[in-house]
Parts: sequence; C-alpha cells; structure tokens
Amino acid sequence: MVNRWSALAADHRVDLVVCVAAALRRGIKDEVLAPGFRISGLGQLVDSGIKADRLVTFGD
Amino acid sequence: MNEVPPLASSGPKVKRFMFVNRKAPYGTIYALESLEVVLITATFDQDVSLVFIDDGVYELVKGQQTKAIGIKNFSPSYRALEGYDVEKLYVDQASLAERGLSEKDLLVPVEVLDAQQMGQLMAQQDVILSF
Repeated sequence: MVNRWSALAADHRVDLVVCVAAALRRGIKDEVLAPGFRISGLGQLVDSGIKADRLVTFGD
Repeated sequence: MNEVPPLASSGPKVKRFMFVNRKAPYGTIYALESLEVVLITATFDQDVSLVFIDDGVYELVKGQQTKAIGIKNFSPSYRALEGYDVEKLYVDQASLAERGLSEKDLLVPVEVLDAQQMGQLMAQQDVILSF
C-alpha cells in the first residue's frame, strides 16, 4: 500500500505530509518514511484547511 | 436552530472548523490528539467548535481519576479552552442520556443538542475532523 502512495506522489506531485507529533509518539522519524512522505507540523493541516476549498478525511 | 450569525472577525480566511470527538478519553490516543489539533487551530484565529458524541462525552466528565492506569489526567485542558477563545462545545443529548450523565456531570459549560440540531450544525461547517 505504501508503495502505491509513493508512486502517487511521484506521478502526480502529491504532497504527502505526516504530522510530527503523531509520528514521534509512534516512534516514526523522517529516516523511516517511504519515498514521497515528509514530516511537518499540525499547523500545516490547519493552513491547508483554510486554503483548500474542501477537506476530506478517511478512517474511523 | 436558526441562521448562522456572521462571524465576529469576518476576514476572508476565517473558516468554520468542527472537531468531532467520539471516543473515551483513555485507551486510545484520539482524545488527546484531537485536543492538540484544536489548540493549534485556535491559534489560527478560526471559528472552532467541538462536538462530543458516543463515548466522547466521557472526555468531559468531572473527577477523572487516572492514577491506576498510569496516564496523565488531561481533562483540566478542556477548562483552559476558554482562554483560547474556544467556547463552542456541543454535546449529543442521547449520548449523555444513554450513559446516565447530565450537563452537571461535565467539566465545562456545553450546549446539549439533539441529533437533528447536531446535523444542522455540521452542515454549516467548512472543515470537519473526526476523532
């Protein structure tokens, strides 16, 4: 599955952002992220929510 | 519920952010991570509201004792929300009733809504994040 995300990022220049606080809490650092993913702050989520015309979430 | 009043600071970038909390405060990280995003969003001067549904209502219950599970009781943080101008807290009426709870069992002042009112409120939001 993660390979398909990486391919999506490469083929369509999709920004795949991982929350730094959530990542560190689970022991995830930049070094172990698959290609195409990067770590950033929660502020970026909020900023995207402000700028985007809509925001869609998946999961429970 | 009637028409939405105009936002106090009517800048072009102010959006309505709603955070839906549906899980018990401990046992999963959802409640704490929701609170983190809420506090960050508040610093962006957005219109923030919080909703508590299902076991999420337990997040607001007074007198939480967490010593035995070795986890910090973070419920006092909900009282601090007011200081961040986060004052719109809504609780689902049925979720409270099903758990034998009422408004007076909660840490903070809330507005209790029925399912239809909750649905209307959700329809008015720009961004909804669920935890």
